[in-house]
Amino acid sequence: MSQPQPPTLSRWFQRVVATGDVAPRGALVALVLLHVFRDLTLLAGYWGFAAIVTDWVVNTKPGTEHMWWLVAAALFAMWLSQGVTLFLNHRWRLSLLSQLQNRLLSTFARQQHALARQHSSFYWQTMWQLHLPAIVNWHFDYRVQQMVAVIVPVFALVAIFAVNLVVGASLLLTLPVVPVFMILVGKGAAILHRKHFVALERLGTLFVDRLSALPLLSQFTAHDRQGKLLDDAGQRLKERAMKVVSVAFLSTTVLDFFSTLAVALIAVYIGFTLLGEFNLGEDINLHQGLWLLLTAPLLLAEMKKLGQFYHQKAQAEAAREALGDLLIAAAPVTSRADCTFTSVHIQGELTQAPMLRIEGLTLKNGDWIKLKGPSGAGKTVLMEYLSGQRPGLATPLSEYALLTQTPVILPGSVRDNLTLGRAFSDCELHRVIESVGLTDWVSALPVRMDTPMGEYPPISGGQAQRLALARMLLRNPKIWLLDEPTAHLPTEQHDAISCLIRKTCANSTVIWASHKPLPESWFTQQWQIAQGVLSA
Amino acid sequence: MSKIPFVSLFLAVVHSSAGLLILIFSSWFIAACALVPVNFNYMLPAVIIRALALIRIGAGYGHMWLAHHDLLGRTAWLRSNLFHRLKDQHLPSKTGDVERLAAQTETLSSIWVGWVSHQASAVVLILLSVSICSYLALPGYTVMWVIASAWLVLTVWLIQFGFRKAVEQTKMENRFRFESEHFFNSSSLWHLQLQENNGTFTSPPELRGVWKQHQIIESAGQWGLWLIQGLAIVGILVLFAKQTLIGFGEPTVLIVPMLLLSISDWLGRPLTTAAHYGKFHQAKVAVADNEAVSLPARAGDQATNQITLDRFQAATIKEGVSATIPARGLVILSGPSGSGKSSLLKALAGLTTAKGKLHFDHRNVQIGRRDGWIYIEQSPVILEASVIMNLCPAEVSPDPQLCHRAIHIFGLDHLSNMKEWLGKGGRRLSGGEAKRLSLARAYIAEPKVWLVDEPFEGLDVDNQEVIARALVAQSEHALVIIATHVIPGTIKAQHPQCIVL
Repeated sequence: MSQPQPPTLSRWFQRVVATGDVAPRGALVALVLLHVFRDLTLLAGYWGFAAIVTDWVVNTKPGTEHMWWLVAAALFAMWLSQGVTLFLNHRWRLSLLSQLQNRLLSTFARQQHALARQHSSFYWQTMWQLHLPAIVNWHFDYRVQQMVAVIVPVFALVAIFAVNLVVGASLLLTLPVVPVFMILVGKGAAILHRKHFVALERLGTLFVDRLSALPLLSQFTAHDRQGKLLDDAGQRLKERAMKVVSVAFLSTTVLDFFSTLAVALIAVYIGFTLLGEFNLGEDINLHQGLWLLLTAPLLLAEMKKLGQFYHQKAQAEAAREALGDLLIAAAPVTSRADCTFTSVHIQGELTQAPMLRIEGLTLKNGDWIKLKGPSGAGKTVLMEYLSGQRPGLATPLSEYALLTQTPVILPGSVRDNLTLGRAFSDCELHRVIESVGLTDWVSALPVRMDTPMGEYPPISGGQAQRLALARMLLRNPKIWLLDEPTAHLPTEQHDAISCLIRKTCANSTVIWASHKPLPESWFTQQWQIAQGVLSA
Repeated sequence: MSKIPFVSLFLAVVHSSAGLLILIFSSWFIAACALVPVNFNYMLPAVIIRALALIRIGAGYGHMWLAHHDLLGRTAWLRSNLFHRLKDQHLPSKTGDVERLAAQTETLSSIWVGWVSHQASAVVLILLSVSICSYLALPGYTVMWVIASAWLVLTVWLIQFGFRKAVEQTKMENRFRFESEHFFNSSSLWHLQLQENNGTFTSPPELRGVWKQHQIIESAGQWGLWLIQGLAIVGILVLFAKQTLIGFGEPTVLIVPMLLLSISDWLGRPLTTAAHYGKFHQAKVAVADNEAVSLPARAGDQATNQITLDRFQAATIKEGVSATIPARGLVILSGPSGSGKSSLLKALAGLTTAKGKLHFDHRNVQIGRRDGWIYIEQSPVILEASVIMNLCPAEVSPDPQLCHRAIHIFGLDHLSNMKEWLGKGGRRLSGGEAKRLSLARAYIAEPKVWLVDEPFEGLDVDNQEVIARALVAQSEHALVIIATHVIPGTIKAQHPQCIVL
């Protein structure tokens, strides 16, 4: 199977990130222009500077006043544009970061648990902490510098040609050699990197892997042996990595080579021409010579800076891979708070992956539906789809409560766990605690409802599920989506909690997925998922 | 390995000095050529210029190569030290903390290439330029003194400013980590909050503060450089305006203006990186104060007839367990999830601190880790290593026959290629395979006490029976305690003792 070529980083950025008023192109253009302007004023400043110094050295007289003003104006303009660039860059960078953070949060708000449950919290933290800034850094440093590194040498070369044809022509001839060399070196390093890739990856993750396995190593008294192994691995990692970087570093060295040699050779050429040793048909004076000497490094300086930002590109590529379409702006979740629920009719293809097809089914107000099917068949997916956490349904259910098999107990107090920040009276809280049978448990806590749960909540699995149920009851939802709420509980607990749910939700609409036996008489419909087909 | 990398530092200084010298020397050279003094030996300076160019290029490559070599070696050394220090300890950390610790060792070892070499170059260049200008009494050497003092003040300020900000940044980062951990873990509750708040989160975790601190640290150096640049421009203009006529007609007169004009070339990197010192310091603190906790101490004695638990349990669980079990045989531990089955097994294995009392043959014994008491986790750790390394993590030359027997007993004959790599870039095991491999690993270690946590969960009936038979066979000569809520037929037929939590 041939894989479609992924879009380039900039295309992806324009399509996914830079929509609406996020990351306007104007900002990028402004930064590039400021940068180019800075370098142009520098060229003018060099001209005045060289003139005054020539007066000092050759004409043994002070520089002319208008040259002094040229230097002053040019250098101050350069300095100011530098300051403005810094200011704008920092400002826009932070604002883009917070816009991206908002985009990510709104994606979480849309896809919710259906998205978050797919990865560990570490994965999401990494995305948030490293990948968002990686995109921003690449946008404001690498992309700007990429354009500057092309524009500035063109201007500088034109100016050099205007001053001295020989120097200009020789620079024009040698300049294209630089990228050619850099590409060659880059290719060589990439080949080496591929060759050592598997070994480098294995050796690189070994430390983290063994550090995570400390108790195991200590049980099998394997710590010393594995420690020695890690030492060897570190040594081999170093040897292999050095093979790759010793080629990769040549890239920087090529640039350094050309820019240093350019200065050295121009100096020698100008010096010898001034002495009359060389005569390539063009007169030159100290003023022009000094200016050329100062200007020539500018040709490669911007490209060198681009090299310093090169790692940003790799980081942004990694970020793109992880972020995918998560930053796409979308309309906020359609809120149907005012609309009362009567019935939902679902038919046809539901989701792409995993496949789930449906034969026309109707869910009416007050229905109790038992959802059956082997694990992994798509019961959870169906609930996510109905609730709008998976895209597809035009008007997803609203005012629903989803109870999963692992109850969440937050480290805050029992009260916080129930209210989740919303205001409820103590009376209401006591009522739901009573109705789920946790009154005794709460009264046994040191400070009743204000007891913090901490990292190790003093609560058993069954009690935790009761607390989670109380949290939902408090909100009196119209629809209950029960995704195997008793899966991890022993039979007695399952019976007790099932009866509790039946008692408290008798008048609501319920979709209940369960492997465990439940009285048939409770339900008005039986839905079945098998081989990707949902049927009654 | 904790030595100072003198050679690479020296090369870094040579690299930057040669860069500056070549510019100054070249400008002096063309000025001298323009004047054509009597007996001017122009060949020597031309050679020196080219030599400087070659020195710069060579030193640049050499510095990068050596610094990287040093960096890799230093990281390996730091990690080795850290790993050896963590013997018989564990990191009770959340996901990702270990990865962060590994990243910190990298940050810490990059201090030489990322910070010291830049600052060392700055010190040498400032000293050289100020002393040469003063020694030759070049016009404008006082401006160089001003620049040098400004650099000193700025650098010291940047270092301590960056230091303070890095502390704040770390604090904010830790808060974000704590908040986001709970934020993501409670994702199944989001719908409740979102329904009540028009589809927005009320107080989501926040990284803007961290980014702002980071930005402040970065920009402090850039603004510092901008200030020095401004000062240098003023210096140039003052020099040009003062017009003292001293030294006019000498090529050396252009040295000070040239130094000032190119200031961002030779002080740029040092100033923009000066504030990063705090980052390295934070990494050092993190590596030194890793939150490792020692495992309970080793205890020597073993039971011959019976083991009595007297309100025994892991310290974090409220209720202790009291029971008497034989020193050999099969014991089932049952109870609802969250009732402390895993904690009890871990406490018995000496992997967490425990409370209560433990008696062997009626004598009270010390609680702790014991030889041959092996805990087999519910979702076991599979090392990123070959199959054989996973089976015998402690052996230098493991017995292949024993290994083959072990994987055969637990129905893993398809893993008979002992050299096969498991994990990233190799074979990935399913949950069931991992479980059986960890049992095979325990089998090879010949435990006196097997503490097995939910071995049957997530396995089909055939595999449950395979494991059950193997564990029953072990219970002939060892104690096998199984925490489970699934009891396969083979186990039931043994009528094992059952402890209900």
